[in-house]
Amino acid sequence: MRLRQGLNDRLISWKVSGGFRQTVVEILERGRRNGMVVIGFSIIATMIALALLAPVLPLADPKELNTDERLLPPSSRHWFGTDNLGQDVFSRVIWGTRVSLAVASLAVCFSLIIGVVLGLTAGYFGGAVDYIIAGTIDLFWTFPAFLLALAFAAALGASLWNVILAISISYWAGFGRLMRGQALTIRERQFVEASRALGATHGRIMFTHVMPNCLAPLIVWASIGVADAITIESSLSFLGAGTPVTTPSWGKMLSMGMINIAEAPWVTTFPGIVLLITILGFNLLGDGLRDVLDPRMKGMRR
Amino acid sequence: MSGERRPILEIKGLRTQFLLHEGTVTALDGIDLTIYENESVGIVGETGCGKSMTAFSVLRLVPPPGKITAGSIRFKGVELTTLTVDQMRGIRGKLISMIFQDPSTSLDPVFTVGSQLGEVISLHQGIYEEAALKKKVLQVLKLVRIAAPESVVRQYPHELSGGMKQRVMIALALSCNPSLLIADEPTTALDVTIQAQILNLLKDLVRGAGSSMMLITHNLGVVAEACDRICIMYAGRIVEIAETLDLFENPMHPYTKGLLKAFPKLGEQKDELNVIRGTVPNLMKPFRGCPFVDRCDSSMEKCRAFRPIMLEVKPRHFVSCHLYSGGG
Repeated sequence: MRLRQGLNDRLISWKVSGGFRQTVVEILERGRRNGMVVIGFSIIATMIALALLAPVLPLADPKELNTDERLLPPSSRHWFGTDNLGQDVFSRVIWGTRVSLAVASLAVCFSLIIGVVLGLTAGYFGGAVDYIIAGTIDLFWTFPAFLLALAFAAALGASLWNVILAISISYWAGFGRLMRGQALTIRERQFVEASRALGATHGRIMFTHVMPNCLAPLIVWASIGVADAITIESSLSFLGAGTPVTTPSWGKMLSMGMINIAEAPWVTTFPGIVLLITILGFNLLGDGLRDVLDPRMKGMRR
Repeated sequence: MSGERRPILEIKGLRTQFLLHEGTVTALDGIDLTIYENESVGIVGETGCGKSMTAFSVLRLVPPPGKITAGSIRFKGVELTTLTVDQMRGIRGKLISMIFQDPSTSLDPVFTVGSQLGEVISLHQGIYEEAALKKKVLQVLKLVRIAAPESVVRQYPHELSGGMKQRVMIALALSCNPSLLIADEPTTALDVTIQAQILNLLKDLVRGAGSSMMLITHNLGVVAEACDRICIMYAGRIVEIAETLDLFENPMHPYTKGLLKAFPKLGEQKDELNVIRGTVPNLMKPFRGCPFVDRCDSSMEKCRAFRPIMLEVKPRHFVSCHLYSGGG
């Protein structure tokens, strides 16, 4: 409650200040001049637009089976051809965007929340709290995220929420480590001591002073994290441990199309390319943001 | 002797120790200090003598593994050492405030000056309404004589100069009219011309508000300018307390004498500066006698054996040294 109050004050005071707006404008301006950010952002924006517009676009029903039109090559009717069940590949790729983006962004959100809260607590308090949380983080960190996600997804069963859960559980440790490391350095800064001397609570210091100071690397990691999450989701679906069979998903399309890869390469090629471009988009954005959000790069031309 | 003067802070027998694996470091070894209303007390001593620890102990912010192991700290008659964490937090910033040494790191770099001031004010005074908050913030900034407060409110700490930042820090500390302001080397990180301005500002504001101030510094010039009384610390103990003028004119403790002698005087031609020989004793080893004994020119047999007690040698002039304990 107190924390929410604190965040509310913060928002109010943000409104009071115009320097904040100016900083945002500056960051946007620097982003606009950064090629990686522009390309990455354009790709992601296109993907998000396609995902959102999928229901209104004049697409064939992605789940409609048509035995007469199996494995047709790309044509004006079926831009990306059809798969072995006669489903329109283009339509399935577009609908697959929805699944991939939704799963990946939700998974990253959850990982971010778990990682930030635990990492912040560990780094800020130190001592025994840190020992336990950092140990847990390391435990999760030692496992390859993908293997862990595979194990969880297989155990939980195929459903979108289970995939999100599996990815979050296996991926949060990265954010936890990042946040803990940042918190460890920030908590030694004098303004943390100063706010304590001015009567701020631990919660307030953690969430309104330590966390905002770590925002830049978190944003960068989150962007690259989405790319990772998309890869994990596709891989899980590819292996059959991910999304349910009927849901159009890029990974699933790749694995289904593999059987006919010699006669009908378009079934796998197109989802593969889109998958690649999307991941590239998030990675470019992440890399670009790292430069844009780094104050040392201010005024630098690249 | 201090009949009418009402004490605001009474420290008695304060002992702060750091319990380390290698042993116990006694950072403060029985501090007795009283600060009265409307009074500025300077605490002077060399690095590591416990000046800052005294301040942190008063605020109960001694960094772990440090702990207040004995003694009492009474603030306006309230015992601070036994307050709950929440009660203590209500006192910090509102009744006792602190200013730190380096203004460039004492402000949060990611928030504007206005939002940081606003945070403290809404936290302690319960002002959440935007217009009222803004008004109060501007008022406080004007108080610390910041030019163009309207634009400073919207600026980030890195956009301000060192002196401006320290003014903002003072504004933060004084925004809730604390009864006691602790200033830990408030001018050390500033250049000399700004130092004088900041000191005068602090002095005026503290007097104007009827508050008291504990000014921590290693610079005797700073305390001479701003303080009513001076308290000299050495190795975790207070060795001498006197009124400013009295202390400069009649230093009694050999350490104080040494300190004053170490200051070069203007116009004096000298090849070498006066130094106090030797180094500070190891605070990990408990010593029975006077901590200054190894560096003292007038040490005696009993200095090694017995710990000198604080005596009022002259009115309002306290010294803890066997030279003045009578009976030779």
